[in-house]
Amino acid sequence: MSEATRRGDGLLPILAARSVALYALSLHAAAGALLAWTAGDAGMLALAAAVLALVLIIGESFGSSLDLGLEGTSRLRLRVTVAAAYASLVVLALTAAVGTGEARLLGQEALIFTVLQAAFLLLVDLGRTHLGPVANALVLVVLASLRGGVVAAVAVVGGLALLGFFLALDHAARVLQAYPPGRADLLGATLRRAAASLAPIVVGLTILFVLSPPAPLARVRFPAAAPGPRDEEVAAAYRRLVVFGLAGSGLIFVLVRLLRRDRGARSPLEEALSLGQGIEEALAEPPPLVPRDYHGRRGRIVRAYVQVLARARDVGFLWRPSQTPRDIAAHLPAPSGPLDALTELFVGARYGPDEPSEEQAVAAERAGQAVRAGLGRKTRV
Amino acid sequence: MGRAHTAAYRRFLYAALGFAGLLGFALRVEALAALALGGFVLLLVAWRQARGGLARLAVAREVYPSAFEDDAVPVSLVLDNRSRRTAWLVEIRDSFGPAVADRQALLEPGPLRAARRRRLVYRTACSRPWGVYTVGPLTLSTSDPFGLFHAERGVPDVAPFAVFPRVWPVAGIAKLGARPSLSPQELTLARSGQSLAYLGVRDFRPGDDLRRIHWPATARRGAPAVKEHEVDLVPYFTLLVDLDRAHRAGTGLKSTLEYLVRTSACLVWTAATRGDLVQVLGEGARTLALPPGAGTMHATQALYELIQAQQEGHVPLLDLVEHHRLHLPAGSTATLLSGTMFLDLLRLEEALGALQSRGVRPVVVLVNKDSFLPIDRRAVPRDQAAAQAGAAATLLRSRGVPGAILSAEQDLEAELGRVDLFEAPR
Repeated sequence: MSEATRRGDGLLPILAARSVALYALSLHAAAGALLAWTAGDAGMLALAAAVLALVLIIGESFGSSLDLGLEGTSRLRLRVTVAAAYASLVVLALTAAVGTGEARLLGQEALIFTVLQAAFLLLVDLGRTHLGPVANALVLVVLASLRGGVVAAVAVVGGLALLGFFLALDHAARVLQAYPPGRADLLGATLRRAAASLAPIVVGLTILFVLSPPAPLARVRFPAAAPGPRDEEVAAAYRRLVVFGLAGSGLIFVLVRLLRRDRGARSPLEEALSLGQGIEEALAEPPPLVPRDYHGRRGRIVRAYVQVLARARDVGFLWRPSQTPRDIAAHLPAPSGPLDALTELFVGARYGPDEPSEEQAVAAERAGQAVRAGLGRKTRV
Repeated sequence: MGRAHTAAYRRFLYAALGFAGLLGFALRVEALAALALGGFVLLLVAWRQARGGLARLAVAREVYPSAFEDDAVPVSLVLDNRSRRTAWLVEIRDSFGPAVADRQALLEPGPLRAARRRRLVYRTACSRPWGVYTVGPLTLSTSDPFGLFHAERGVPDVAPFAVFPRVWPVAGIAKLGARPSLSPQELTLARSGQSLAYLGVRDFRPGDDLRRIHWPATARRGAPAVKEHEVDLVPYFTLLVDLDRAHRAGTGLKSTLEYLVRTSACLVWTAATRGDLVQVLGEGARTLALPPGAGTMHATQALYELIQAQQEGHVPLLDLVEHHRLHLPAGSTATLLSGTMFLDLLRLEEALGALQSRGVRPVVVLVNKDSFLPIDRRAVPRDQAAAQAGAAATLLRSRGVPGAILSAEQDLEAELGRVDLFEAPR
């Protein structure tokens, strides 16, 4: 898809909401790490909220113009190099922090990764995914969780929830970006679906932390003069954080909708088509499958065949009434050997004059089982 | 959206959460272990939702199975949701063979509620040249709400789709021998038949149509009598196509096969649209034998047969004429479409004479194969080709047979549209 604004279609609100979710995740993770290992006063939180919001707006609005002029291979090489360097930095930082157990070192690392978070947000639109800021936010959550207590609990629960919302919005945005503008009012539905899936996890983790508050890393040595924030101070800090976060989110939601330029991509071999407004209609209940009474061996063969048809319908294969059993067998995505055998046995049992033998009934049931098993594997995840 | 995006986050989460879990258990930090646990539960929930996303979701295609080159084709996709859940962001991929793009991708953003059907229509163009293509298979795909797992299912709905050559009216055909039934020059035969020309009255026989009872005669004779009509010589157009393997030349749009098929299509379509009974005969790798018939459906069937024709035959055109000429009705038009100018002129003259003596009006269209890029045999020198063209034209003029010679350098559309196409072979 070419560069084009998509005002008026359902994509822009989702892009803006995705930016808000990414901002909330970044701010939450950074604030958690800063509250855990530094003084984390109101001024620092306000500064973090403002800087993160500013760099995200810049990154989302003008990032696509910063193309670096690199070809695909060079871009991949750069991405791999940066990822390897960053992973090394993370391992080194966590090893040093855990090994020394110095609270001051952990505080410095929290600051460094907060600055890195801002840098990732500034370059947010460069890669195909938003893995950079997400990975760095998780590192900040890991740093916060080493502190234990309310800070760690809030960092983990909030981090997972915000990560889930971000992923849901990112997914919806990417799917919509790949197609021409059209009817799609998906923001509310995306948030509802994500909330429904995340709620049990968030509630479960909250109950776990209430019942068993997380302990800090045992080997950390805190300075005697600074034993760390008390729970009331943490609660007050989070109240302030919510205010800063809401202000930043509102700003981001408005500005990203105004300034954002879409940048979707699709294989040149694939044509993304715009749709006419689809007509929705109620689906007639399919007639019950062969309610006739077939007794004995004839009945067993017919039942085996009907069970195969029922499974085929479950996996989405529909046939027309005009199709004969052999037509259906030719189109059914199932192992051809057992299917052909079953079809022949069914045709003989259903329309033939002679009562089938016991061997034929057993063979039909076995073939039916094999075909149903083959049909069940067709959905790939 | 491809699997790459869904896989990137999923693989990252596997690695990051695994690392956090290991760190949490090794250092006995409960918050880290809980982070890993919560993350893996999220992945599990997503996997289950993706797996169930396609359950009882079905798609089928409805498309008219033929079109002309460059036509826009509406393809209707019927998406059924037979599950109890609402479907969101369902992607459908189709493969429309005559289009330039390999695949066509559509999105049903949702909500498609339970037990509902949505009919989606996309338009694409037949950008590829005439021939028989396939449409399908269809692919349905969706993801979990977080886009971490991708579920895809193929629907083996594959059907042939015929692209017919674009037909241009052949202006010159209007002057040829076929006649509409009610024209002033209507030809009938003084035998009992079905025309509007009155022949006489005869006694009623069992099976006679009651509407044909002649009531005054019945009253006079005291026995039922019926009206008789003469045989109506309906306009009858026969196309004899040369599909001899020896006359292959050129490639793609500039080939003898292209000229033969496209010219045949234009002749058949023009004759059929003005109401002629049309039949097509040829001997390629398989016999091309379209029985006489009228109307658009019959013309469409003729086009369908023509686009499947191959120049793989071994029967010369004049043998084909010899074989079929006795079955051509008087008053009809027979067009001989040859892939070469180098027909045996003596035999051609003989065949034309035989047709004319039966009251059949012959028309000869010669494709100059030597003007195309040679494939398996050398092209005849230009002067020799010009001499043959002159001899053929002289023969046609001497027998009063309309004819035309088509060459690679000519624009076929313009040439077939010429009113004087059959008057003086060039």
